[in-house]
Amino acid sequence: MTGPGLPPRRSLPPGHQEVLRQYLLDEARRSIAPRGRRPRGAAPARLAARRPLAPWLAAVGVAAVTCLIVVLVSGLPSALRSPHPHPPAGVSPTAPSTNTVPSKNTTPWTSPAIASSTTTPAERASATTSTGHAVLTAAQARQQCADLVSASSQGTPPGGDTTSLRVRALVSTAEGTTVVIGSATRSWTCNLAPYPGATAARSVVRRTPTTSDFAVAENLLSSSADSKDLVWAGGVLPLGVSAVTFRFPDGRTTAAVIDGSYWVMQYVADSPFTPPGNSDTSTPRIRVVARTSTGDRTFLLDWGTDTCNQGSHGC
Amino acid sequence: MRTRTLQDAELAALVTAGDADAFGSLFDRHCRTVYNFCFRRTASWHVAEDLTAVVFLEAWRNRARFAVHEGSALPWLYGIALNVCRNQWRSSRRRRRAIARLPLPEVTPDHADSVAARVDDERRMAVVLDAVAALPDDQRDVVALVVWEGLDYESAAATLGVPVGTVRSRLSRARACLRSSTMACLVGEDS
Repeated sequence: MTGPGLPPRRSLPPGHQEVLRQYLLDEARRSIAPRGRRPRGAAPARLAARRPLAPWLAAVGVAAVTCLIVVLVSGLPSALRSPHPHPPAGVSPTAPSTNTVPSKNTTPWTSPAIASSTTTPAERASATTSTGHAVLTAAQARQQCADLVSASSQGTPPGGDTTSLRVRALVSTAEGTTVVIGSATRSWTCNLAPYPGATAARSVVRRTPTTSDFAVAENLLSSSADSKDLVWAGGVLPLGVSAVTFRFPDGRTTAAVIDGSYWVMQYVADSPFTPPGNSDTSTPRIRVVARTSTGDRTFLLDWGTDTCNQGSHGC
Repeated sequence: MRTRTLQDAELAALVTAGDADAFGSLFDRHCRTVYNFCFRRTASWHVAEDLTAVVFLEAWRNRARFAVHEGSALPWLYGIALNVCRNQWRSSRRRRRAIARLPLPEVTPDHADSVAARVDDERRMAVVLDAVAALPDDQRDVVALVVWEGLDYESAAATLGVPVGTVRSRLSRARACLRSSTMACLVGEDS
């Protein structure tokens, strides 16, 4: 009875059935797990904000964060939602940009206190500052990233329904917020501050590591006073990788935050990697070291090719 | 895994009781069917994959109402899939209108979508869906279940929650509607 015009039946692409199955089992176990206890098979290091111990505690936390955002950085929320952010409060929108490197996106910069790149994820998660960016909860980060993804149409879920998207990995500090959100099949990485942007959708199927798995987004943050380089990235951990470290041209390193089978990283350099007038070819490349069970593997990111992963802005 | 050899009715009982492993076995058994069904309602393998996940999530959430028809869980799953696909179509229609007002950036496709055969599938399926787009929802559902999925009338009736006679009449009207169409073969019109 099947008409000749119908395409043939197909199986899910290789690896996708396993990913879907694991996602569904995680969801099923989470739904029946007693409150406060982690479901079997779920990622071990998710932020506590995702599963509060008591509803009232969560409510107090949300209220406190909301107040902080309103009182301290009243100009930030609109900036976070805009693909082309306005300057934060207190910064002249006409402040001249010092950026002359056309391959990078720029945004005005308020020179916030830069958290040390050697701080631990826990320290980063709890950081709050009156001079930097607001630290976001997982729920806030999820919503803002979903909004960014939807606004930029980066392969959004069916019907634009973002309710099924979950936070996979998050780093939120005074220097900014980068988050990975995902559905059963795809994930997106967003920087929510200081330069809101989102990557295109990526499959969550884990593969053997390649350089493109660690591709980063790079934004030049410029103001009349100084310029900084923002680098952010995240996604599903390639197969066999247990830790990821980035070494930047300024000689500093930062470790990606690992959360289950996802990773996320953000770094703000004190000065642009490629000063105006210089060529990318003369700039040392970002070196990524991925720890695997058989030893460390090193990947060098090519400028441009591997440093322009923000789908919502183009390159 | 111990639940792999169980019949659908046994799996359904375990799932209803909250057994996640049984739910996994149910998924393994029927995900391909649901995946293809969703594709034939959306003409997109990518969307079908997401919808497959939604269908099984809904199945889990509604496990208290799990129904097995003549030993198979498929009619019940088809019923969920019909609703999920219908909702997707409505919401995507709203979304498409909204997106049409925005400048569209370049979207990086998933690796699987770059496979030529799948792209060709999507083109062909879009043509088929266009051909049946003029049918009312209820008739299109019957075409999808009986003609494309090969369900018998009783199973289709169980899926839709309507009498068998209704299935017959809807299919008959669908065929009549498309009789003059060049795509009549897609609804099983032989003469």
